[in-house]
Amino acid sequence: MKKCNYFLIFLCVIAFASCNHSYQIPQNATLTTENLCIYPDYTDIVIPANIAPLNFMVRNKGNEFVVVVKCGKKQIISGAGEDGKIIFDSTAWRSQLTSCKGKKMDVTLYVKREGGWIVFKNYFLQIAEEPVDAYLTYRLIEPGYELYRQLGIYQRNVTTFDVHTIYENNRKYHKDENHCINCHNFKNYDANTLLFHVRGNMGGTLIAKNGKVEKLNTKNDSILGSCVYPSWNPHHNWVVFSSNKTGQTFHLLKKEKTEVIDSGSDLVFYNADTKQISNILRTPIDMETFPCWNPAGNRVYYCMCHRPEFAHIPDSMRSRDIVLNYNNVRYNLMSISFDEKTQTFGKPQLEYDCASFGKSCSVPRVSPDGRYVLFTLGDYGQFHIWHKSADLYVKDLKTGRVYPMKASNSKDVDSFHSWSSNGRWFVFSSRRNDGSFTRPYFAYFDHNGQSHKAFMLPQKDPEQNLLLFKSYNIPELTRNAVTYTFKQFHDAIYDYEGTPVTYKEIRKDIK
Amino acid sequence: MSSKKYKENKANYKPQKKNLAGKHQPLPSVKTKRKKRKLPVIPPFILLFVMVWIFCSLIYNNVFYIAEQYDYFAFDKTIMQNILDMNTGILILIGRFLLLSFHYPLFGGFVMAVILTLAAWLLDYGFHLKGFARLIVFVFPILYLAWEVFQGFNLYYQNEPGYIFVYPFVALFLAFIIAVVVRLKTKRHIQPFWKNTGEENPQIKFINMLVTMVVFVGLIIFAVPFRDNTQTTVKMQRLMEDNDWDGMIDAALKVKRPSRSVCCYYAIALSQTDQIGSRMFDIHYQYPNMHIHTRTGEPDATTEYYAFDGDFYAGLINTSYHECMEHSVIDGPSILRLKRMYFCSLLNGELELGYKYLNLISKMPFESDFVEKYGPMLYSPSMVKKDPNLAKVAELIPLEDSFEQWYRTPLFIGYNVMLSSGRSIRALYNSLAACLYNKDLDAFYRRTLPLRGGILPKSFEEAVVLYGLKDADRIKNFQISPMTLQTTRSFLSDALNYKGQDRKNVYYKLCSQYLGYYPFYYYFENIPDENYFLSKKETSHVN
Repeated sequence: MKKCNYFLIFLCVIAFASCNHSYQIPQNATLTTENLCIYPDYTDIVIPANIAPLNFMVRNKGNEFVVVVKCGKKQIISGAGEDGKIIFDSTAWRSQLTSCKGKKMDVTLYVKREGGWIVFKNYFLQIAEEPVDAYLTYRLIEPGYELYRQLGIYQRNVTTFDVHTIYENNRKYHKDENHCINCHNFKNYDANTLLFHVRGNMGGTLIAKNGKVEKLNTKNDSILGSCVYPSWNPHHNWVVFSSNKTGQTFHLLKKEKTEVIDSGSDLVFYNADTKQISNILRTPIDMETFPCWNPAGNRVYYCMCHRPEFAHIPDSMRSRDIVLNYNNVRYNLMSISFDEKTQTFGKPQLEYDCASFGKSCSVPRVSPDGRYVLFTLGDYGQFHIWHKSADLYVKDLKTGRVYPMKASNSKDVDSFHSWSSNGRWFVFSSRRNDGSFTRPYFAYFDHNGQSHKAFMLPQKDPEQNLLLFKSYNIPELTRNAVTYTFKQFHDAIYDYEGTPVTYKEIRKDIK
Repeated sequence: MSSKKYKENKANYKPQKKNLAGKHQPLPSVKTKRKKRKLPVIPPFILLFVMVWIFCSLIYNNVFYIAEQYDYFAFDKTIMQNILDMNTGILILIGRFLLLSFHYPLFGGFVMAVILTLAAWLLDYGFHLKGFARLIVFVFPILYLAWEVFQGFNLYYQNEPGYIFVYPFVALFLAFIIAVVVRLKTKRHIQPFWKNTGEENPQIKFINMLVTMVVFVGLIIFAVPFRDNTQTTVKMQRLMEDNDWDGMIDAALKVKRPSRSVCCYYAIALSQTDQIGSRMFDIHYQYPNMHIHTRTGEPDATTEYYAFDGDFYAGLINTSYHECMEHSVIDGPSILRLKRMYFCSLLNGELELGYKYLNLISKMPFESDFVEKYGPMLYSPSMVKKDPNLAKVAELIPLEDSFEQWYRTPLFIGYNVMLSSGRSIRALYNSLAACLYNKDLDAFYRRTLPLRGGILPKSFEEAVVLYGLKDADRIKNFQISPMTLQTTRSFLSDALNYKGQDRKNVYYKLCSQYLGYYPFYYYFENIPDENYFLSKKETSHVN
């Protein structure tokens, strides 16, 4: 019996030893001038101290790799074989980052080739003082066109690699389950209050608040169409939606393969406590979309396209008009005041007239301190996630200055952004990786209102983002995790038709 | 053995009578009968194995090969996670893994034959059937193959291709369980499958063998003449992989009533060999119903089966990519479509995207040849221009951007009647062919005007003459051969004889004389009938 135990202990030791490959810093490595090529690009970036290990793949050729992450006297050593996949030990990584908060870490990469070891020029990882919100919610869907099948909304803990499924459908094809889920949105960075839409079979809007999930049927004759892009009031259970008539068309020659167009859109106000919906702006020649509350909850920012041609075009021809003139349709940044006591809106105010110089904006998001509006600026249209010209810009509401987030922008699409609750980080979707599959990128937003080089959401297997056949959509940060279960959402979707909403007029001029 | 049992056995033991030579005496009943001629019987499981192998690797090999190309399998959890998350994910993965064997149909056929034969052998043991009842186990693998043939494209198109192997695998597993249970309960010995086993008399064995062979012949008849469109389509797909355009043309010409898919691949081959203007109407255009169904059970015109290839070879790169992506959304990635998307990325200059697809392709076993052949193009875009086939596609890419929706709904994908300007004369010819296919002579004529004075390809010339029948001025400056004029006159006179009759019937009467002649197509072919329908799509406005 004793012999048997010794043998088992011996086996365990062997297994443990084989799992923990220790890497040594190579001596006498030759410094190379060759450019370091790693995937994802994590060179010279600012990162939060609570981010999960930035595992990466080395694309330079080599038989063996060793990486040293050094900060003062502390260092982590990791390495990889021929596949070049550098996977850091999570505990060591966390300890290193915690102790290096506010400091720079130097990263040195050694590569073994036939002639011996070479070493690349160091790059740095600056650890910011401020953490990023720990939970990132996103949707995974193929960068498709018209069809959908299996898709889901997931929440990732960015401090680890844990992923929680909020809702997903159609693992095995079933007609009833073939619905699209989209536009998830949280109230004031709190995952206890959220909503998302279900389109197609079992359609409706799911609102989760106070521990319960309810399906709403927001269709009402008095509003333009379905409720689409939402924004929760930070203090109350009120939501401003845009109501859009949306279509899409497909380019034959461009690398921007899809063109999503609106042929009509308005803003509506929804009171989730009374289940009443109201038009905010119902304008035949203006299209308002992408609403966003400011943190004080007394103003809504949105985008608007003024289209006087609509006055002479019947409704049925508007879509054609937009398709024909798709590259001349431009949206300005607007805002409208809100009186919390009377629950009424004021007059629209122009915030940024980008149409006048041939640009178009979308997705305004106000920073948690209320000073900045982060938005996407592109050459035309509003669905910038398909426009390669789309870049992130910010408007400083204190000075009125508008400027690009140069350090975090790329040549490809950068859009659909959201702030971290402390206002020091923002996350956005970018197609910079391959031009087609969006991935979430984080960027540091410093006290001077400048962004820094963005970095991709780290994964346990750094090759994951290359292999995944889906896009990350609408990355939204929250302070806490979603506590609603999959079953709660599933039951709400399948159990009933959805609670109808009633219409309430709040427009003063109509009264 | 206990001594008590030994004594009992000894008491019951009756020795058999032996003759002087020490041999067993024949049974009296046999002794009285006339000696029968020995019937040749092949061991049934050997026969079954050989038949399944022959069928899978020689007769239906192309279908299984294309099914394998509709498959995607990698030894990577990240890629296969969406399958693993399904309730039957493991089974599907096993099915997909086994389906890889059909990358080499001889090997795939062998694997299928082993699984089905083993399953039959174990069932034979488990159920201990006798006499003609044993036919059940002999015939079941052939019936399974017949069911696969019955599926047509639906075997893998809009269906999980892994199921091709999942069902035999499950059958083998269940048969194994049954056999183990029976073995434990009865202790009955299992007979080697390579022996001519069974307790029935040779006559029954012989009849069983004959019936099995007859069923197999029936399967072949079902798979060859009754599935000629399925077989020809997949054959053409394989030939296209090898850029064997002439082989594709020959294959299409052999089909009596080609399906849309055959016609599409035929057109691709003609376009690639610059024969679109002269040979396009050499095949019969009156599509049969392929009895293919969507996932929701609605009739499917199979357009999506070939559209991505048709679009690609018509230079509509984005449209081809669109088709591939849509299919991948519904069915998950397949290696066939990943390859097409890779080529689309190359031709679009989207090299990072191409890298992604190449990386995914390289993860699939047996695809190293493709990676080695086309992978270097990613790092040397000039190689794309040097590749004769890709260069031909590049010649057809539209000059100006427009939207897919503005193109005429494709009855026959592969040509673009909306093209008003082209990158090459081939683009113009394809456009003219599309007009002729659509019987749109006005659009055709407008496009031929720049070609006046030159020698037109045969079908174009015939169409010009047809268009000129109403107004002779229309053909004034065209070079028309006297032969074409003569044929037109004789066709008109022959056709007039059948005036007022059903056009489908007239087709059969004039077919032998005029097949390949454009006015004949114009009047008597491609007539919408009960088989004409277009597939519905489940779509959303925006995902």
